[in-house]
Amino acid sequence: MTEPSDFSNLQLSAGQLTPLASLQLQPISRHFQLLRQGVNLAVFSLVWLVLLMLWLQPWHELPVTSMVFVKHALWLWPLLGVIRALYCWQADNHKHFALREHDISYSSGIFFRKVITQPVVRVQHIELKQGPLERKTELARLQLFSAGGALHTFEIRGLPLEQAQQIRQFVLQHKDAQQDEQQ
Amino acid sequence: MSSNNEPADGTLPQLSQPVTQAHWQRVSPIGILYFFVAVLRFFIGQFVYLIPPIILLFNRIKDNSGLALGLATGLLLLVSISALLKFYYFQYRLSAGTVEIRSGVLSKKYLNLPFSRIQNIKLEQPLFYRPGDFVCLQLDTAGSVRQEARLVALRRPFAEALKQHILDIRDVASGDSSPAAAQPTAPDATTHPEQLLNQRSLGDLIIHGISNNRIWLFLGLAAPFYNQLADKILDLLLTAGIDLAAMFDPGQQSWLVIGLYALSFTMIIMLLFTLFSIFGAVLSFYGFTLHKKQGNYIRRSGLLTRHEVGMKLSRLQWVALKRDWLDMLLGRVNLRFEQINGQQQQFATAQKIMVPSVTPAEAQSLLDDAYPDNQLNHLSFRQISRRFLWRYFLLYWLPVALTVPLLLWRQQYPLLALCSLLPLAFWALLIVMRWYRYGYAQDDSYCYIRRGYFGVDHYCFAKYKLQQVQFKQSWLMRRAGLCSVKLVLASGSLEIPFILAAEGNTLREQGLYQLQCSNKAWM
Repeated sequence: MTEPSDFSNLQLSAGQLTPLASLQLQPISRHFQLLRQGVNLAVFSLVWLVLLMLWLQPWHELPVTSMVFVKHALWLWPLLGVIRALYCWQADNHKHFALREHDISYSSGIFFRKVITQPVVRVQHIELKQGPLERKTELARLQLFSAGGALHTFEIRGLPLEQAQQIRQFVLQHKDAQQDEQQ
Repeated sequence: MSSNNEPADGTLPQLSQPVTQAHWQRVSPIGILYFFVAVLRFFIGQFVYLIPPIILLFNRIKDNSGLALGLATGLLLLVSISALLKFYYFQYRLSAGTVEIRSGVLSKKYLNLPFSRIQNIKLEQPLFYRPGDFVCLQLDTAGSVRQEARLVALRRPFAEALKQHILDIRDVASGDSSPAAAQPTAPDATTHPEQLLNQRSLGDLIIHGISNNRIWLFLGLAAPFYNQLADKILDLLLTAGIDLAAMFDPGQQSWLVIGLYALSFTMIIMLLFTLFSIFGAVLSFYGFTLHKKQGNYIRRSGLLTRHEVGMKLSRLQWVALKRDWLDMLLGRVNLRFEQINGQQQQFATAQKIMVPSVTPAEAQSLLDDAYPDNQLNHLSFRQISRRFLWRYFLLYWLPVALTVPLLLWRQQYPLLALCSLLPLAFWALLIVMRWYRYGYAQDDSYCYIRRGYFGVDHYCFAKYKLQQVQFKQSWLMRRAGLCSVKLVLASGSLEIPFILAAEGNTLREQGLYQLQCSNKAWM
């Protein structure tokens, strides 16, 4: 067992794992923020276009109540889209992560702040996930699974792929070091 | 392939031979009965929703008794044949370090389980295994639920020897055993006698039955039969000269008498329910013993099917001492040793050892045995902030308390509006009690959490068992310098709401420090 006096748990930046950079709380990727805004825009525009077509189409007479619904939806929907875009932008601005020698922390939330700290020794396995859009933009989602159950999976979204791989390497190597010590 | 030629003296020669020389074996023929019961249970489980219609159509079935009899016989035959086939195709092979199981009639299953991977070993003895002293040995792995292996019918000495062998091997594999336990070939019972930690008498179980009403389960199961049951009971009472309908008719009786009848009727029903509950407690906990042997806890209990559950002390995640209000009155505690929970929710009960209705002193001594340096009894718990009350009153209680009575009043139900104040008052009381009961404490190695409503639950866990910590703050909490801390363990998570942010930080930091510097495994 390590002597408590030898114990250290200094803050690290992801850059220290590879050559440079030094940061405290690191924000998630700006690309991820833009990607979210893009997806948001696309989805809302698509639905709005469908509503517009419903409003303008001459072929099928819609009931009056439906027409009233469509009319209001035509201005409410973009408003909702703008609110969501603003919220997502702010929410993403509040997402940070930090690495220390023995744990990873992730903080999020505008009104309800939440900081999750995952000790590296307790990580059971790691997953790096990429959806099709994330692959295009070279982003990745890092998931650390502990024995705390599926509800408590530690996840950092919107990491640049390279950085995510570095963190994964850091966790894996940390595990190896631990096991070597135990043997 | 050899037949079931297990030695009864506890020596296991096949456990020292390599896989290539090992033989496939069948379990004892009594296993057919085991499979029969299992298949029958499966059938009943599949068609349980058909039971109420069958009861409704009972008269029609009585008219066609020949057909019904034929159907029933056919079904029994089907079950018997499938039990026979299942038995025939169930084979196992023991060799040095592994157990292999081949099973399945149509879809074949092959399971190879190294002894070092086995987490839990359970011995189960259904009623029909008692005369021949057979047991069912169940081997669980940490991985998935489907990975569990059952050796369905083994003679007890053989099963015990195998169990001991696996435990020894596991100790050696995890490298945390004493040198004496490191010899897998010497499962010597005399050097490691079982130490009796606790046993429950019939009186304790009756108390457990009274204080832990499992009757709601019975009620839920019996729901389809309510109507028939009510009719039957009314008929029965009529033949006994009691006319319930007349007794409760306001035209024939005064309100006072009806009230008295209703009261005594309720009392009788409550008494019946309690009797059922006591019966349930005795059924599952009869002859309860908790033993300790080489860092393993072994629980044995059961009136019909005897269960034996083993848990390694190092897998223990937390100890929960639970008391609801009746337990408080009767001065009892339900103590639980809980281990990994994970996704295996449906097996949650199998993952913990519960010691039913012990006295507080017994509970403390059990806790001291698991965590020798715990200070649960000497520590004073810190209360959480009063803002907890504000949040729940303003955010949840007040809106409901304003709208519901007002709405009822406006809908011309003044009496109902008045009545609705009662549950509202009770809810308010619950919130206050929740706040009052919440408390936390910590020492160098343990965390203690107290919570409950009218009863009190205490949780105690070693800090190095933590899996993750979470720190939460709403905007208002941040202004007041408060936070909530969630401590995640393998057996679940515990939240301490509305404590000072500085204390939350210490709790987090010290927990992380303990787990990171101790280098101890969590299981």
